[in-house]
Amino acid sequence: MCQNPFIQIELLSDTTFSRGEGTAGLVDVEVEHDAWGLPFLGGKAVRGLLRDSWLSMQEGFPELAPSAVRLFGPEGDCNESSMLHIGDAVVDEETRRWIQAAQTRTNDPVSPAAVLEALTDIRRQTSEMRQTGAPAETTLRAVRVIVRGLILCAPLRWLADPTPQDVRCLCLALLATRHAGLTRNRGRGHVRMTLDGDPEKTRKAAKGGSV
Amino acid sequence: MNAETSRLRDGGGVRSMAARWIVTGVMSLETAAHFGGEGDTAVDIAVLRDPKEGVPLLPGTSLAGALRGHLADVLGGYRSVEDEKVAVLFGAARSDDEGSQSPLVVFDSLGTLPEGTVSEIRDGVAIDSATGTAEVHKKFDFEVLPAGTCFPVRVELVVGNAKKVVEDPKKEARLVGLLVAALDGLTQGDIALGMRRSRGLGAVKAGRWKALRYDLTKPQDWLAWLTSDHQQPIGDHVQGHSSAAEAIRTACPSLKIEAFDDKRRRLLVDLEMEPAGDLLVRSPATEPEAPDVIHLCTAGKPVLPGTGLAGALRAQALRIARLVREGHGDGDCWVDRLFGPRLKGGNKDSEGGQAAASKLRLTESFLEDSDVRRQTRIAIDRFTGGVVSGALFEEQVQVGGKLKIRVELRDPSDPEIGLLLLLLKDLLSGNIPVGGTVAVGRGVLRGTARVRLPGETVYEIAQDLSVNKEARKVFDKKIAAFHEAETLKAEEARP
Repeated sequence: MCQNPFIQIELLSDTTFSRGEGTAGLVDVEVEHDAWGLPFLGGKAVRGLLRDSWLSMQEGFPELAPSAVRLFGPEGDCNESSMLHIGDAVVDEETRRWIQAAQTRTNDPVSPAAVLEALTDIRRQTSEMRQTGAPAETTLRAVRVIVRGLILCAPLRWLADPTPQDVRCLCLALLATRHAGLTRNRGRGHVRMTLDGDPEKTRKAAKGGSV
Repeated sequence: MNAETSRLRDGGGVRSMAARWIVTGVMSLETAAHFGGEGDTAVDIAVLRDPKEGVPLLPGTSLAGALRGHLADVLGGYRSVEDEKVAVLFGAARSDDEGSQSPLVVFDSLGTLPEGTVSEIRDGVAIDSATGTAEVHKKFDFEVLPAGTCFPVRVELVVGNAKKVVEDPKKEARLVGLLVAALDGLTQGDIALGMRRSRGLGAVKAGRWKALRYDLTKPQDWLAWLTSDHQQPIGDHVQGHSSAAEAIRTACPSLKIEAFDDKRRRLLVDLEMEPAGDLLVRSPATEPEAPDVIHLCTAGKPVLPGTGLAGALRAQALRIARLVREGHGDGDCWVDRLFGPRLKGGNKDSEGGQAAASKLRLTESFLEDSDVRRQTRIAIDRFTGGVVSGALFEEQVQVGGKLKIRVELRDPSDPEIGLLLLLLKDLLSGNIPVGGTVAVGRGVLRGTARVRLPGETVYEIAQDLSVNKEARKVFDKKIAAFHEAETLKAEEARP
């Protein structure tokens, strides 16, 4: 299981956390994955998503502005003054160990490609030309998606004891972050982010209750 | 914005939000549908399925594309250059690198098949109009979802730029108006989804619309949205409505939704037909005791597919056009304009042009109140006069019944209407048999028609093909336009 505290990211729809490149002959857009074939989302991307959500909602919660600066850091911060470190969001430790054992065993080892294939699917799409109603040329794309249902955990490390306002600010940003990855406005990347994998606890903290 | 919040702000700016609309509905398939997928399946083209549970999947990309296309049709007319208002709701067009992200989130949808049904297999084949037989290498099969399959629809609209919206509420009214105009396409059944939608597949209708609005200028509404359920954002206590507009008005009565003029020009023909005898659209039987061939059904009901009807109409249109336009030699071009060009050899380059969808759209029609009859047939050896060994077979045909068929011609010109009227005359008088085994007298249809020309004028055509004086005058004018039209060049066959 993930170590506490952590951010749990549950994929409610198929998702593409893209690595910005394809796999020749297979897909035009590949998902970010590690050497074991396990999809992950970088901690920097998680922070970016939370920060973006907060920026959109900050005027609704002016009393949490100092906490937001402590959590997400000021603009253009090169000193890493943020009090919250967010790790990469990866599958849980037990699954990782099983996958690693399966890939390093001497008899019939599983390949990283097989692991990636098991956890993902490939979607193909094309555009239509409005003037003819026929498919537009050179728009056929093959995009890999992580199959919905996968749960990723990003470990959190507080550099100082967080105040209740800090935790509330984080939980509000978590609950507001509901779409991530490529084509997130078109069905993919519907996610549920919670603190320590507990939706109720996250909601309670967002409302200002103690956790 | 105070000093603390401004420290967070980065070069990309802040997307502030004034409101968040959540609109849900339930969409059901009026006819069979194919939302494309692929995989190692027994059929040539399988439907797209959710990789986790194997249920049918309608991607948000497909639904958003269909809604965008419909809104562009309403605002500018069929196949028009996209109105700039479309990008306000759906984001920048593919070629526009400077445009902005769409404020509309369209969710993926997982389908539920009607109880007791499974996905169906359809056969497709091209018929050579010269010989009336199947063309070589043009036989294929594809999987379809049965009529009645339900897909939940969920969209969320983020009304951004809080300060401007608060100052001018019309901005939100305009954005919501665009959303209503797009969703109306689902409510009215004007949007079809997936493959072969110009031939009746993928017709949908949506209802049970619900809407919620969160005023994101208020902290309590922010909290209400944040703590709402991720997957079921609108509870059962919210009442469903027949249209998205009604649901939105109920959710926010003070908002005056902006209405837009419908610029679509189309000719609609509603046909009420009856088979004069038997009708058989061949489909392989799945039950062991069933006859060798049965009539095509979807969700247990017999249907006349738009593909079969379109094929029969196209063949007759070719005969008419070649005869009428003999002096001009452009009969085939007129038929291509109406039905879409055929790609010879499966390669568009061999034709030297671009593929195009058909301007003529036909529905897939359910055969109501028909009876089923089993008929045993056998081949006779012409030399001996005896039966041919192993040639005994059984067919299950549909007898009688009623069909309601809708024919739509988009953005029609007068000569195109003229050609369609000539086709209608032949169809209503039973000269265009449809379906299979027409050589033994099956597939003859007769009936009446209501023709609605662009501009909402409606004319009736009776079973004996009689029309009133005004209709005769108008129809004659359109048919004369087809006779007298300038010669079409080959490139004009494609829109």
